[in-house]
Amino acid sequence: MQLSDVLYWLYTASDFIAVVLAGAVTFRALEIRRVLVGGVYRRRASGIAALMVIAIIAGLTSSNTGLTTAPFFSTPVGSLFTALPLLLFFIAFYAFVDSNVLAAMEIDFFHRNMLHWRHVRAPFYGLMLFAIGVALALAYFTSNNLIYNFFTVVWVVIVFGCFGLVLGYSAAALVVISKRTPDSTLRRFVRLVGLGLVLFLISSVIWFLDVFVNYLGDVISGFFIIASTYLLYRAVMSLSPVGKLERQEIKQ
Amino acid sequence: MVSTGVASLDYVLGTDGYPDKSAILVEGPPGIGKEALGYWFVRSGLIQGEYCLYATHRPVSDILRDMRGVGVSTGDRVPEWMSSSGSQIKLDLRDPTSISFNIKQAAHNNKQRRVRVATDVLSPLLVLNPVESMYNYWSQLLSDLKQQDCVTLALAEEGMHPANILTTMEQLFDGVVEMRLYEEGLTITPLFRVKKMLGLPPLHGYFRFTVSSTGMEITPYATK
Repeated sequence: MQLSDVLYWLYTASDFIAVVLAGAVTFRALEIRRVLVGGVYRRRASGIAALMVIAIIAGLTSSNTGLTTAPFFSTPVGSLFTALPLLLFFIAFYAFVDSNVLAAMEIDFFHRNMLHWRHVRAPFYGLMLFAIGVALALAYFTSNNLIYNFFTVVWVVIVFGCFGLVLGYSAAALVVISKRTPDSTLRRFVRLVGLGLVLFLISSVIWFLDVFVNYLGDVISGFFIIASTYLLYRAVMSLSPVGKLERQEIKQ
Repeated sequence: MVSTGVASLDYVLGTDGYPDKSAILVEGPPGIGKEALGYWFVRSGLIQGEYCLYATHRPVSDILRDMRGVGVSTGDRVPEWMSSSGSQIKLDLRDPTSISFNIKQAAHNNKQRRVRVATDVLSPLLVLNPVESMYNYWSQLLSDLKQQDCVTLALAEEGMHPANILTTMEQLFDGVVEMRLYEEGLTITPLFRVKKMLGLPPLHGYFRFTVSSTGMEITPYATK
């Protein structure tokens, strides 16, 4: 067995672990959502559950799961099906961050506009949609590798630049909120989501830079994805402190 | 006795509600449903023709939306609002003195009937001001309100303060109820406990509670 084989298996394993972990996060988020009454916190739990469902779909449709080896997925239309979940995940993550920032501003005693969020959120949605449009076009036209050239690379950089700008700014907004919001539960939650987002961005960059080398970058990127998903698990658990009760205490 | 507005809670307390001229503290993590107790408390007062004041740091529109979400409808009767926006009496968290003055003034103007005050400003004020001054502040306010036929229900966010601060504040109240989430295997259960209540022996034991658009229900909790 060669090193590339080991790396390939590690890569597949990391994808599998991330998908299982995302399943656990979804279950926990739905359970927390069931018992919470406050709309703000219920929406946080629902948001993470929705995000994880998209992540699971994106994980299962990634190139190394074996599910997308059918000839259909190498056709231009088929390649859109493999690209779309990941792109949807990007925009879903941004939408989730957006809802967190708005919730934090609503909870803030003085309803402060943090990092000019009210002004930048709509243009950022536009930028994300533009990037997704370009990415889908690239996926369609480069699926048979006939026109993979310098300009393609430029467009890929532009697409990732757009995602990087929006999600990077989002991460900064989450950091500011985590410092300003008076609600310690939301503070802890956004801090963990922000860290999860940063790790996800790092994993995307590593994956992107290593796209032409063997599976080493994919493995490292996979472990960052696992760490990011774990942070989202911690985030959902922080939404409402869950205690353990001694049986004796209940019977008193 | 002053009905809590939740029949099963009145039954749990065994006294048909909160004691007269008392101050009750409801504590628990955010989102668990503390506000629902405040809404049912106010609704019960409005039905009985009592004067009800809801002092909140949130906009009135948010509170009304929340009320609908937990199945509380007050019909034509509405409480007197004191809030950051959407009310005649403004509530400014940067000015605790005016908050206290306005609450006492509203209660005084309605001294011919029973007064119910529900408020969620305890935690924000504790965050924005030194604990010692807030202890004196609430001590004075609650004591002044008890001079007349008034029952106060204050909500405290557990996650906003260290445990010792909440324990200190508990001393000022005649009754303390706690709402918590507990882990039972893979499921999470919301539980309710009466930590203390004026005129009652300590109530041991936990109760399971549910808050939905059809109302609030509290039932005894037992492990399998």
